[in-house]
Amino acid sequence: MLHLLEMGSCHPNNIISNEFLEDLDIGSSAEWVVDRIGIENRRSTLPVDYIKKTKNANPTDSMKYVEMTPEEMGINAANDAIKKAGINASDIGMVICNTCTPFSLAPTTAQNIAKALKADAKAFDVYSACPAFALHVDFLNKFKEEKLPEYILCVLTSAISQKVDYNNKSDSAIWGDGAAAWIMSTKHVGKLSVMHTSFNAKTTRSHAVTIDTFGHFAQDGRAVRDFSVRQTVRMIKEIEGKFDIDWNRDSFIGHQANGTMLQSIVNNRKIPAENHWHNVRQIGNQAAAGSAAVLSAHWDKIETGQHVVVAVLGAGLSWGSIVFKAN
Amino acid sequence: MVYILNASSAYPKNIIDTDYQGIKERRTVLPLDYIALDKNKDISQAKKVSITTPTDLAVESILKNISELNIAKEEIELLIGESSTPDQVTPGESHRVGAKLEHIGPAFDIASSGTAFTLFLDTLNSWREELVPNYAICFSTNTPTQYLDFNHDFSNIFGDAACSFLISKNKQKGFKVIETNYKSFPLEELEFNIPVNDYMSFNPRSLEKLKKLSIDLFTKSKLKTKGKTALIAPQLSIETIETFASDISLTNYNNYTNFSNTGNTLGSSGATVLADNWKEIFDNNDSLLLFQAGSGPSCGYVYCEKVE
Repeated sequence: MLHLLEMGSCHPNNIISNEFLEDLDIGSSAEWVVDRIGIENRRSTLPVDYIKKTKNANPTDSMKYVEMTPEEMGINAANDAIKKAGINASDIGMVICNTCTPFSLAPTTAQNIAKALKADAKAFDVYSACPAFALHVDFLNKFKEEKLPEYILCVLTSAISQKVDYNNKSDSAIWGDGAAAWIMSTKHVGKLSVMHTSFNAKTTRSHAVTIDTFGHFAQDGRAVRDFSVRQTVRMIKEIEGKFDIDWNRDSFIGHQANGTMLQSIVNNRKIPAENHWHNVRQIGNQAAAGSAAVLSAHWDKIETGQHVVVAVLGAGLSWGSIVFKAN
Repeated sequence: MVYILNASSAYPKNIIDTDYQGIKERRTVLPLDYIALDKNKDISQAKKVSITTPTDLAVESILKNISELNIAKEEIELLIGESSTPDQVTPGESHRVGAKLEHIGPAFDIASSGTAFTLFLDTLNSWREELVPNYAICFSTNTPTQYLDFNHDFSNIFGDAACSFLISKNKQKGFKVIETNYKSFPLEELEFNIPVNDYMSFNPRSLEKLKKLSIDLFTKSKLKTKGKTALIAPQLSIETIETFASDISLTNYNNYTNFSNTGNTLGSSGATVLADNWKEIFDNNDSLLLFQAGSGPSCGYVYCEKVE
């Protein structure tokens, strides 16, 4: 059985507030953003003065001004997870990583993170944008146990604020930057055991969310939002049917896309506010890193016997789910 | 058990025919007059002027692959791919390719640059057998010429190509995968980098290190090959390809390469040798030993036996 031993996260310090967006004079108002998107603040690896001055007109240029690269965020999150797990980087036998905003295509981000950690491990990227928390756990859950090393490091890191056109009032209101990392093992029992995983895709809709290698982020917002709510509800219903889910005891973590979308989902499934774990209102949509960073932040609240249900989705379009049970 | 049922390649039609260190030709998605006149001096223009995309090359390779076995694209249950030179960083290359194949089902990227197929097969070979689908497509598609400064000599080493393998767990034909080994060596220094929006940097001395890592990896494995073995050495240099069998003490073998006609095509390297010589390799050998090595650094091999 696959176990999640410990987690870590990293978010940059720069805060893009709704008031800051209002001051950009792009037709945004703090009230509109909270009402429509449900986000108050988001974190960015870009200096806010740079955003104010350039509105990130040239996303290739912005890479020169970042205060932290996606790799550096990933390394910080990984070090956090490694320290909490009480292991050394040299104990790690496999590193996998997902990033929507790589600085390096070859070597892969996973290989660069392994190098920075001095982890002499098998390292490669496993990628499907926003649902990668589910993808990574599902990917590892498919392995014969004897084929996995003692400790596996998974890293999700994303800095989409570097790819946002800050003339676009919707995109600028959504995206934040962050990284999350965690240690998995089949050889050591951890706080969470993996009871279920799924991952799937409908690639005919791959054009709905894109980031050009030399360009800006773009999405068909309305179509993605409708799909996200429907598909997440569908995944939760399937899990509710298969497991003994009691929302008064168990917790839900969705894709941290935006606050209003998550509220629609929890309203539909009647999940009480205290068991809906999220961070999107204060950090923004951190792509794949968001849901894992939420679990990391709530780690100490997990109680024995509790299920944690993760249902995430995004570009591809692709989606996946995990059911953890606390030991 | 995992079987390689078929392999197919696709190349852009433009040929750069400069003779360099035994490489006589390599293919490019860039117009030849653009290379001659501009030398790709503004890398952000390369994607705009290219005659085709990594995605379209991969699709061409996959459609050819499945049509040769009369398999419908709807029968593909899993799509795993990668590109070291994507037109978009989101969604994944497997999703863009999947869209053109109208694929509905799991699709995701597994990326390790020049060692794509050894990683794909090492992964599928490590999964619980019941989770490997009836038909899976693995592909790698790369257009490194878009990332080259053509003022550098080493630009003559690289070419563009896509390759796909059709994989199955229970269609017992083609090549049965017996042993896989993929390893990355993140603590080893290697100058072989493709930044997301800048020129590739490459030190030709890296080739010697990759060769040594590949030899060490295989030598430690103690693998015994069966009968006549089709050897596809790491497609790093003519010298590596010519001496590799001796370096790994392989005696009963046929050596296959396409390096002098393709150059280094990153994750497709070596895999396209199997694709371009499938019938010859299948008919005249008992086993197959395919090596790949590249950025990371990483290297790996796949050893298969022919299924009659």
